[in-house]
Amino acid sequence: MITRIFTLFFAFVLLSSFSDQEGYRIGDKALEFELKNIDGQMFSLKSTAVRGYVVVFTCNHCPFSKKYEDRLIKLNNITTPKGYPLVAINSNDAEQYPEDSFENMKVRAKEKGFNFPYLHDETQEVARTYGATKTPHVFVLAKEHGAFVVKYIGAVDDNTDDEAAVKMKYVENAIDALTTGNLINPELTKAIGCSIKWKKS
Amino acid sequence: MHAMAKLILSAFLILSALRADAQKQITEAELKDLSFKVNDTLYVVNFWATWCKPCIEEMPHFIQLAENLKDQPVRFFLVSMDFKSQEEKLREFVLKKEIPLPVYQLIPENINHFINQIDPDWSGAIPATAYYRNAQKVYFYEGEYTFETLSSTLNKLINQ
Repeated sequence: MITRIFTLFFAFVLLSSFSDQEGYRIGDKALEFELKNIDGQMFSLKSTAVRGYVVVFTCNHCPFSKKYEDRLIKLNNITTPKGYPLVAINSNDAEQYPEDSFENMKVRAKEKGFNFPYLHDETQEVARTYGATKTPHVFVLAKEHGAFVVKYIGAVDDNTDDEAAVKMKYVENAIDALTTGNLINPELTKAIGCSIKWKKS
Repeated sequence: MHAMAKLILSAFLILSALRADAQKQITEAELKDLSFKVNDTLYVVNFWATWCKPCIEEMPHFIQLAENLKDQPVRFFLVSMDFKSQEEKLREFVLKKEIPLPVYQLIPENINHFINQIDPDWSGAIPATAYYRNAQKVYFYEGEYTFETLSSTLNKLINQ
């Protein structure tokens, strides 16, 4: 009986410690997801020769995401030649937010001329695994011994409203640090954003 | 004619005062002054924005519960995170919806620092709500409330 109580107790402790650890921390190995791109093809992190990726959780409807659409295009032009192409993912529930449907992702990408893959995380599994909570939410990954390791989590830069007033380009700084072998500082930032719209279960 | 001009001027002044009252711009320090007070009142600070659908959906619950709890030691502040460029949109929203709670617009100097100051566990997604009593944070929640979840949270915290 006592053993049983102890087993239960330990199971509970284990479970609660698991649920505490939602999403990735710096240094974690990232899931090598495979998701449908707006061109209809499956996109896999494994598929290209790269040093890493700039993974951006974003969407169509969120004003904060809209503010960054042009900036993401510019950012991709900077990071891709350094070996870190940008990959955008939309994980929002299109039932509650029709503007974020797969069809509307295609429309937006064409309108804006996205120069990066725009992937649909229909099951929301990738957002949950990464611990993305809002849009935009960036995860910089670098390849180490064949695995993708999380190097930076947070915002694109320090001014959503006004690009001209940006003082810190966090993601560009992170990529620069990675390519020059320096420490990323800061490796964790925050910004206000729209919450990811989880499916109602 | 002179009296007419005076009348127009005072009408203008009253109107602009009313407009200014729709929302007040505050700094991080001023927000702290509002919520960190040494008394037994529970200060509820809800972070929202006009473009945030779940924020707008939960707002009536705050308004209704503020009314239900008006004899209790609890005060509500709605702190908008709308961009500086959206000031007019925010003002129109507050007036059109006739929001009876105090509305503030906060444009933080350093957003990253601000979010961590409010709560280290806050990812920055809104809505989010912080609760203070006796110059201390007593609770923080990131996410949308239903009437029931907000009501039970408030009852628990008020009777703590």
